[in-house]
Amino acid sequence: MNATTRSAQRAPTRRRGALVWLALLPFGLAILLFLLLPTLSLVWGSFHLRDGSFSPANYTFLLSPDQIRPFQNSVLLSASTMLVGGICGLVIGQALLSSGSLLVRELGVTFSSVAANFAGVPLAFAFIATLGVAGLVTRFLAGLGIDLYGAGFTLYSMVGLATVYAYFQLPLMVLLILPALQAMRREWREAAENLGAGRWYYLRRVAIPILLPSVIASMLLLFANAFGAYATAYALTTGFLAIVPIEISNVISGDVNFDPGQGDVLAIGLAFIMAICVVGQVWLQRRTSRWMQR
Amino acid sequence: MARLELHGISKRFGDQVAVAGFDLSVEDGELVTFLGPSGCGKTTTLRITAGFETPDTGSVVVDGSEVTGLPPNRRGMGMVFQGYALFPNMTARDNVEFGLAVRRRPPAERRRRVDELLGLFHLEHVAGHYPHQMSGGQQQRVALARAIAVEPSVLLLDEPLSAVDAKVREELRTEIRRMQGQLGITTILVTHDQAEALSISDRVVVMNSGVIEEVGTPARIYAEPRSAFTAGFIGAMNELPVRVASRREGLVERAGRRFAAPGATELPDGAAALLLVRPESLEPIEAAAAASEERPVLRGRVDVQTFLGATMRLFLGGVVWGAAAEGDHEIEQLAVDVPSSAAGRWPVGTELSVAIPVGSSRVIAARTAAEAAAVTRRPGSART
Ligand SMILES: Nc1ncnc2c1ncn2[C@@H]1O[C@H](COP(=O)(O)OP(=O)(O)OP(=O)(O)O)[C@@H](O)[C@H]1O
Ligand SMILES: [Mg+2]
Repeated sequence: MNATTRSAQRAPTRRRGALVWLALLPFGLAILLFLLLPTLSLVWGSFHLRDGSFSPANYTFLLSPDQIRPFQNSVLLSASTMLVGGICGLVIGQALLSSGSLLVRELGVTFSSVAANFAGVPLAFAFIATLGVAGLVTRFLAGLGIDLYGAGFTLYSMVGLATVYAYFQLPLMVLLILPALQAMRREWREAAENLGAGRWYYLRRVAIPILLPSVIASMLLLFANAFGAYATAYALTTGFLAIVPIEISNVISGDVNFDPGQGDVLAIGLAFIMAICVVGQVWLQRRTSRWMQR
Repeated sequence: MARLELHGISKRFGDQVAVAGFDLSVEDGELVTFLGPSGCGKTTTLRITAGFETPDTGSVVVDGSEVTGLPPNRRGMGMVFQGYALFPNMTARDNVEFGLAVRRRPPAERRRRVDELLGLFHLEHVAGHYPHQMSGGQQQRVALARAIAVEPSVLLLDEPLSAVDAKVREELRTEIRRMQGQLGITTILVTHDQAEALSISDRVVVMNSGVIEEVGTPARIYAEPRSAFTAGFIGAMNELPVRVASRREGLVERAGRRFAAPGATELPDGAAALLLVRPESLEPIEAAAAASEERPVLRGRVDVQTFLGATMRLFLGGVVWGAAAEGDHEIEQLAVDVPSSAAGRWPVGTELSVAIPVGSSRVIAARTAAEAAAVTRRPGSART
C-alpha cells in the first residue's frame, strides 16, 4: 500500500517539474541566443587571425603594452567613479531617508531613476553644453574669475569622462543601496545605545557589518556599469580616449587597424572582468541573505 | 536595583499630546505595568524613561539623581523593544554578549555570564542560531537575556509578549515574573493585555489618552475600579445605569427601586452613575425571592452560553430590574457566570433571576462621551 501511495504522489510532482522546465524554455533560449552563442563566436573569433588562419597570436596582442593601457584606463575610470559615486550615493541615500520627509525621498528616488538612465549622446551633449570649452557653467565660472580650462581641466580627458560617468553612477548607487538602508531598523541603534554602545561602536559592530555586503555588491555593479559603458565615452571623445569599449570599436570598425580577432580578444577580456564583478556581487548578496532573510 | 521616579512628564508630537503630567514612583525591586489602549502614550513614557525621547516638561530620577539629560547609553537601563530588535548579524550568544562586550568585561567572565543567562532562559540549544532561525518565543527570550546581561538598574519591557502565541505568552510571563523576583530588578512592563497586567504586576498603572487614570494593586484595581474607564478596561464588567438617590444614605435608584451601593456617598444627589458588577458576583436566585434594599434583583432571558472552563458565562437579554414582570427593558445585556456543572439548569431561552449581593457592586460616575468612545475603540474588548 505504501508503494502505491508513494508513486501516486510522485507522478504529479514529476509533471510539475516538466512544466517548470517548459516555462523556463524561453529564458534558456534567450541565454543561448544572446549569451552563449555570442560568447562562443567571440572565443572562436579570438583564435583566428585576419587571414582566417587559426592562431593564439591575438592573445599575445592583448598582453602588449599598447593593449594593457586601455584596460588600465578602464579600470581606473571604473574604480574612481565606483568609489566617488558609491560613497556619495551612500551618503545621499542615507540623507534621503534621514530627512524624514516622504516627499523628499520620493523626489530623490524619481530624480535618481531618471539620472541613472541618462547616458550616451544626450548626456555627453548636456555636459558639453555646460562644462565644455564654451559651456554655460564654464563661462559662468570664468565670469567669477575661475578659469577651469586654464587650470588644466578638460571635459575631453579621463578626469572629464569620470565627471560625466559620476552623473549616472551616483544616482544608480542611490537606487541600489536605498532598499538596504531602508531595511536598517531604528530599534537596532536604540538597542545598542541602551546596552551602553556609543555611535561608533554601533556602526562598527552592527550597522557596517549589516550594510557592508550590500554596499560592496552595489559598488561592484557600478564598476561593471562603468566598465562596459561605450556610447557616452564615444560621444564625448569621438573615440580617441583609450578605454576598452572604445578600443573594441576601433579595431572592428576602423579602416587602418581593422582586426575583428583582436576585437574578440578585447571583448573576452572585458567580459572576464565583468564576470568577476557579477560573481562577486552574487556571492556577497548570498552572504548577506544568510542572516538578513526574515 | 533602584528606585525610579517620573515627575510631571509631558510630551507632545506636533498637535498630538502623547503624555501629559505623568507622575509615578516605582519602588526598588517593584514590577509595575502600564496598561492602556493603543496610542495612550505607554511607549512614549517608556522611551522618555530610557532616554530615547526628551520630555517637554518633567524629570526622570533614579535613586535620587536626575538622569533626564543623560543619553541612553549612560543610564544603565535595560530595554526590551516591542519587536525584539535583535541584531540580525549576530547569533543568540553574540546578542546576549553585546552589552558585556561594550563594557569590555574579560572574555572568560563574559562567557560564564552568557552561559548562565542562556541557561536561565532555556536557550542553550539555539545559542549559535541567528535571529531569523529562531521562533518568536526564543527571540523574545534572547532579547530579555540581552537586556538583563548587563545587570541594569531598571528594566523596561515594551509589550514583550505581544508577538508570541497565547501559550508561550503565559509561559514567558511567568518566567519574567520569576526572573524579576529573583534578581529584584525594578521593572516597568508595558502591555495592553489586562490579563497580563493583572497576573504579574505589583502595581498596575492604567493609562488613557496620555494621562494616568489610576494606580493600584491588581486586586484593588480589579475589585474596586475608581473610574469608569478602568472598570471598562479591566476584566468583564456589567455596567448598569443608575441615579444617585441619596448621597447621605448611600442609596441609588432605578426603575422606582432604591438600594444601597458602595460609592454612592461620593457622588452628588441626582447624579447619573454606573453600577458595576462582575459577572461572577451575580447570584442566581429563585424567581419568587423578593428584592430588598440590600439585595437588588435583575431578571432576564438566557440568550447565549459561552464556555469558559470552570465557569459558564450566560448572556441575558431583555433584562429588567426586579423579580416581577413589571418594568421596562432597561439593560440590553447582562453577563452572569455560573459553575459549568450547574449551567444545565439554564439552557438558552429560559428565564433567570439574579441578585446583586451586598458589597459586590460599586457605583461610579457615568463616563463622559469621550471616555465611552475610548473604551469602545480598544481592541479585543472584554467588556460586556
Ligand atoms: N515619533 C512620533 N511622532 C509623532 N507622533 C508620535 C510619535 N510617537 C508617538 N506618537 C503619538 O503619540 C501617541 C502615543 O503613542 P505611543 O506609541 O506612546 O502609544 P502606545 O500607548 O505605546 O500605543 P501602542 O499600544 O499602540 O503601542 C500616539 O497618538 C502616537 O501617534
Ligand atoms: Mg507602544
